[in-house]
Amino acid sequence: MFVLGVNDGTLAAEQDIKQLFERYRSGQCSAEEIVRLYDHFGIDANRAVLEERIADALANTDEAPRALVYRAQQVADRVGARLRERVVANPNPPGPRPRSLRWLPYAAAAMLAVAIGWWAIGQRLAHDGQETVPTLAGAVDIAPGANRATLTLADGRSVDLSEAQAGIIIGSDDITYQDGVSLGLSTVGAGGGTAMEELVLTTPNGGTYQITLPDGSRVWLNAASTLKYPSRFSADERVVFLEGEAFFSVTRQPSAGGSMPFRVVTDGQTIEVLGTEFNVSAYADEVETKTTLAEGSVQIVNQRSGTVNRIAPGQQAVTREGHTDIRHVDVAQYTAWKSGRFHFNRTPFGDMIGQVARWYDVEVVYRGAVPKETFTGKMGRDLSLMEMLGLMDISDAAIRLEGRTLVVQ
Amino acid sequence: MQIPEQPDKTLLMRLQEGEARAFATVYELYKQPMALRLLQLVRNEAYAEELLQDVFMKVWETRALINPDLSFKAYLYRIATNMAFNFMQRASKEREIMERIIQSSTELYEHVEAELLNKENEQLIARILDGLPTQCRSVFTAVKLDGFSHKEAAERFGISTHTVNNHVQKASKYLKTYLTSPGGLPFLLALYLFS
Repeated sequence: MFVLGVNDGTLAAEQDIKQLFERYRSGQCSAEEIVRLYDHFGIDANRAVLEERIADALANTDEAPRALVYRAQQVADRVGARLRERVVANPNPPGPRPRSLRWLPYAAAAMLAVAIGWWAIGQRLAHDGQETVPTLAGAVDIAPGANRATLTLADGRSVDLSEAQAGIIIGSDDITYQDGVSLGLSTVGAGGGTAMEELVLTTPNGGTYQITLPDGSRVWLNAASTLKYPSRFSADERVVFLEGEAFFSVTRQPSAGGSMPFRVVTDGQTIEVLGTEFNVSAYADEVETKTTLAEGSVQIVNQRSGTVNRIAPGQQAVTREGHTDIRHVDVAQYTAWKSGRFHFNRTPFGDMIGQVARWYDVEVVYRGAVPKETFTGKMGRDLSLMEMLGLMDISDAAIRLEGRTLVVQ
Repeated sequence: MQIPEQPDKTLLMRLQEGEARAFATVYELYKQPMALRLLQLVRNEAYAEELLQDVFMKVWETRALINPDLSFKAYLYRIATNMAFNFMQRASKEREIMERIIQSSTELYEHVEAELLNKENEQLIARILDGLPTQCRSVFTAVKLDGFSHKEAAERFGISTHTVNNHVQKASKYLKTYLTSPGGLPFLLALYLFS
């Protein structure tokens, strides 16, 4: 057990301990050296030196290898779970007199941050308007967007669509909500009969709506978007105009020459398909137009240069001025909005906050540079603004809400 | 990594009175630095867990002795130092413990990479590999997290298996370097799925 000459509490032993301890802590000791270090613990005279080393090692604040940090996180989580069990099972063990029996479940606070997150979700309010609502903390919060849109008819009449409904159906002689209830518009204005009239569906900031076109194709319109479409499609092609963002589920229409094309015209791209599902993001205040393909095949025409690209499922065509780039993407990230979710995957701060601003109808003001962080994660679009931001780990940027303005510092 | 100097006085008073929620908050404050240093000290995950639990159980059991006006950090670290010393002294006398420590001392970082490469850590991996080119990252994820063979990945991304190989190797090396270099881990967004 004893190594000759060094285990006697002398200066030599002290030096040996100090030197071995450093190497041991960084994992550089051989098996023999580890045994030698531990042998020092058998000598009472070494106690003070060893305790000092241990105290130093515990109070150390140097950065450790990340693999060790990761391991430590797991250790801390497992111990946290066990402490919770033990403290809940036995809140007041015999011991020095606890002065009070005041008791709250440990479980509720086990992970404070997470608990607050869940609290936020549990507190989801029944938002039916976009008024600001006071939170428990007294601060002002902003409700999420909802089913909101305006339908404008060819004769200039406009109808605010019901927030209780999710979409409308353009039938051959009537326009109804998805549950079949008529909007009660006169057949002429509603596009009935033989006339081909232009109808416009517009969502505000914080609004979304679905529409089923006369050919059965469905369109989900995201916030701050406009879709122009005819009350009836012509016999040889289907054309709609989009500004903003929409998800299209286009039905295949047999025609004399095979299938009838369906075109989505935006400022940056014309997207031509036969029958497929894809998402188009073409906001006027964003420099890029992006078409993301979920199924089938689409052809993208660059409006500036006229270049034509064809993309496959899982690909995205990004148009910026005369250039169109094709890239592989995670499609779910670009279509999550239509299922009521935010989905960020290494999303730059600006893109993330743009989506937030449109959905919560707030303005974003930068008091400094745009943060360089990217964001990854998913969350429901039915959270209030502060709940949503609370779940985001925005470390480099302090965000403050002033009225309907998000100030980023 | 910073160690909090002194929790809020009312928090310590609540802990002293036996409020479990206050205890949980105190654990949250100190768990990460304490777990890390205990692990670095005893060089074994299971023993570090035991020690960490004993240290905080001791705090809970002796909570009535906490003086909210004195340094809590000093109190906590005194308990931890004593317990770590006692453990290491015991280890020096028990061959079985010694052998386990010798064994795990050199393996402490091993397997972390393999453990991390799991579908449930997708977000963490994504943030770690943020600095790599998109295709390199996507190919690595497809192979290591989604279980695509190199051939399948090659077809999926329209590249040669040779290129797949290069991407995987490059990302593996990047991940290894990242894990062995000092630093913190990226924080992740809370992950909530609504479907």
